[in-house]
Amino acid sequence: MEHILLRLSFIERLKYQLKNLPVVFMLSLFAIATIGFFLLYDAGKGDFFMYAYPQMLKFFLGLMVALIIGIMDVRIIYKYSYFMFFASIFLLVLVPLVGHTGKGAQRWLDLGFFKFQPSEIVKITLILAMAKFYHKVNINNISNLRNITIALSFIGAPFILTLIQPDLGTSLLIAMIGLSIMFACGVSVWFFATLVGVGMVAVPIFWMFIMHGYQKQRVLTFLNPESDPLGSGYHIIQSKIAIGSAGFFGKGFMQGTQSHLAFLPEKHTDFIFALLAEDFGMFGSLCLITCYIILILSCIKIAMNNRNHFSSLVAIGVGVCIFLYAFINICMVTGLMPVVGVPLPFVSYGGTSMLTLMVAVGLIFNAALQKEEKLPSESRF
Amino acid sequence: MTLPFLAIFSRLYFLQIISAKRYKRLSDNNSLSNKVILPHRGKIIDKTGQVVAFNERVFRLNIIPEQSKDVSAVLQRVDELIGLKDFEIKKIKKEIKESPKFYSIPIKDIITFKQAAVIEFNIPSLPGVYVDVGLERKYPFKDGGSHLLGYVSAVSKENLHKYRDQMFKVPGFKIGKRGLEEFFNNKLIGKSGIKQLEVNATGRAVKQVAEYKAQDGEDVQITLDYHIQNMVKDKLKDYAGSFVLLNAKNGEVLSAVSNPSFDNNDFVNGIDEKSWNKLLENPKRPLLNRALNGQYSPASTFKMIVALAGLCEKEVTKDFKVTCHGRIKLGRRFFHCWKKEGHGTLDMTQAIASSCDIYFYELGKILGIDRIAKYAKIFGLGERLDFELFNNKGIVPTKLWKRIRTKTPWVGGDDLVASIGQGYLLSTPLQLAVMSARLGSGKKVIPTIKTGRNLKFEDLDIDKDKLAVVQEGMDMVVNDKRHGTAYWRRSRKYHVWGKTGTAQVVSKRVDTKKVKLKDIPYEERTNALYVAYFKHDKHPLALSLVLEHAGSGSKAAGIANKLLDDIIPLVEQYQGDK
Repeated sequence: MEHILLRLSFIERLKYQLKNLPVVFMLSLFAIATIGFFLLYDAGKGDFFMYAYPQMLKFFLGLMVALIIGIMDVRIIYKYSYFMFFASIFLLVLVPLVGHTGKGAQRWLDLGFFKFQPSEIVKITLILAMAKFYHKVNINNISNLRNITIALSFIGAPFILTLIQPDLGTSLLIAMIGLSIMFACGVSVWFFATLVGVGMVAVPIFWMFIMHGYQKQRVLTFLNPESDPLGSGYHIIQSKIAIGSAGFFGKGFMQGTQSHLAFLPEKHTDFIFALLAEDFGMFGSLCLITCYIILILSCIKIAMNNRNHFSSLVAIGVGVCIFLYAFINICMVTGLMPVVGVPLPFVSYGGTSMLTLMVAVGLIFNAALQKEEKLPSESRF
Repeated sequence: MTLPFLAIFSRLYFLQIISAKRYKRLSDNNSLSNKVILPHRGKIIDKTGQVVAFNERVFRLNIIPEQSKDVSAVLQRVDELIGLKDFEIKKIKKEIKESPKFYSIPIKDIITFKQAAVIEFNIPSLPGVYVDVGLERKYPFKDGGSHLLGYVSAVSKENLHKYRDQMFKVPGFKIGKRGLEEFFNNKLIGKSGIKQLEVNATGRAVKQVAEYKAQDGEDVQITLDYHIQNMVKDKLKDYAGSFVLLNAKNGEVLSAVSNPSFDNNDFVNGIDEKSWNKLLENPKRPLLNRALNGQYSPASTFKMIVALAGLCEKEVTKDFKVTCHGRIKLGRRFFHCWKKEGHGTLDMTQAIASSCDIYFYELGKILGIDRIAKYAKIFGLGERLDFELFNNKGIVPTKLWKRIRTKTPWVGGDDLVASIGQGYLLSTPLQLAVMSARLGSGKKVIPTIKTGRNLKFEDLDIDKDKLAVVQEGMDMVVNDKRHGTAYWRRSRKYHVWGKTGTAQVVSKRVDTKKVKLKDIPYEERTNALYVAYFKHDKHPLALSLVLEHAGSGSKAAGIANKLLDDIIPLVEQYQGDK
């Protein structure tokens, strides 16, 4: 099979690959994005050109990028995985030195024409680097100390760098993505048990010495939002009111009072789920969640059907990434988790997160289209 | 993966199904704002249909800070056009700072038509400034009857919790504070309406959801006749005193003047300190409602009561005669008659007519204070009258009262002093008018200021023929040439009964024939009193006139009878046919 494909021309190869187009994945993706467009039209108070139109442009541009990544030879991606990871780590190091400060944290790099967050990119490159690492590791040696140490340092570098920005939300997200790839590879359960133990010891130390005042404030507000209704508790109280007042079928499209009367802050970005819940109630919320579940399950299916370990792990990583985004965002908006700036994937308005996610989608496409490809196994053990 | 999503599902179920009602309420509170629509306060109308309290449309000047780029510059321009005081500008700026940018802030509550025109003409140079029309309580007759009308003013912060209706919390909302405005407040005030507005998070109204109209207050008609009230007030403007006129048939108070007075319009927007102090420091006490709360010795006007007590207690008859030599001796003390040379021998009617003190000293000695007090109470003295507005009780002493009050026993001299209406006795002008009405009509007249009550009074528990003796005495006061103290000051047009009274305010004998009134210090001059009754089938009138430190009762009689010459035609004109 490998040889046949190698002998085919580019166009013929493309035709062959397109048969593997992940239809379910794409349909659920389009469904989620479409829900997003409607919600952004609502958030713009019926002004199509305010949020909805730019978001559609970004989505379709991102889709182009995703398709390009999708038909890119997986071997190229495999080859440059480490390079891209280290490059993004380098950018992360650059941030505190030349970065752009916004909302009390240095997260942005300004390229003059384009401002972006290296911490967004590092989520993708971490997935690639971890996948490449475990692709090469022999299954029998996966739980030994050396390999675990290497994997943990892969995770640790971006984790610490984002933590000092400071961006607790993203650093935890990075850690969870990395750890879930380790879990998917079959690292011993004892390792994770140890990690939980260490975590329980670390949290109080973390709280006392490392966490910033605003981060502590967020956690405290999460535990009791009503303690500061007009300050840090305002977001979550208003969001809960918006969701709760909707009932099962909601107030109707464009009828949400909380969002339309501007009680609900950030309704087009992080808190867009509250807008959905207010307009369409529990029914609408469950529809969106179902779409996410289908999307993530199809990621896993793509991972299972892939013939090379690297692409499987990438698909798993991306699936976990999308899951974490969606899960954390919804938990945050419904008051189950403290407010950390995580967008609702493919729905929240914004350029950087959309681009990151579409690159991730591109990797899924890549894994699905080239599921027959084999990569050289360079296991040294 | 199912586990985390199960968590979200249960969370959504909790928020949107179980707690939906609670959050729905919170959401409504968030987005709906109730704007109170104030009702219009009812008018107060006098018996003849004249409006005595109404709401005047006034021009108000406001500014919406958001619409004017430079508030200071705009205010400076307003200052150039109509003039603003420094403290006003400071107050406006403070209010602007404390309110949302889109709130309308009043610059001046009342501006004249001319000022409004100047502003309107220059409106292009005054962004954010606008003139609107508001309502302001007005009392067209100013100080005429302001004691009775009272006034409206803003609800004080300490009393806010007493009211349920939201309108009371609107800044500047006014309620009746004194007099009739206070008494009829519930009727006049109406009920507030509500405009439900959908507001956004900054409080700005986005659209109107519902409107419940305000229910305006009812108009109230009172029994006062301002034709009479104003005329009497003008005629008495040189005196401190009070005039009360009743319709003895139905108890309606036609006039209740208390001089000096104040302009209740000044109180509507809060009186300034200077004027307030001026009112407080005025020795003639303009804030006191003399008609209802002023307490005076009834003096000789009380003699009818003593005479009636004598008749009814069967101690004397109308033929009981006393010879007056100008003074009598009780113990070691002499008690004088007002007429030094004495009246000679008088029977009861003559004694009333000439107001002989000696005759009533003798009668008082026989009766004693407790039996006199019983009849004083029948005629409404010493008791709070069942009137709409607060009125003082006055004092009718008894032996027990003196013992409790002064810790000294009642002595014979007290009987004598009380029987000529001096000493501890105190009565209000309203009580004197009621007494006169009861004496004249023989019915238990109760005063009222509310129209449409159609009160019917029962007969007093007094024999008609005994009452007739006293009525004859009162007739003779005015119409008997030989004895009557008010004969020379009688009404030339109408047949009126009356009784004069001259109340000493200091225990000092002054020979009025030798010393002129103006040579006596003002505070030591006697009070002049007069009560009168005009018998008529349709509108019998009873009046009392008290003039502080004005001299003798016959002077008051002269003034009152002259007033009656003008009043009776007015009564006939406006009320005769009703």
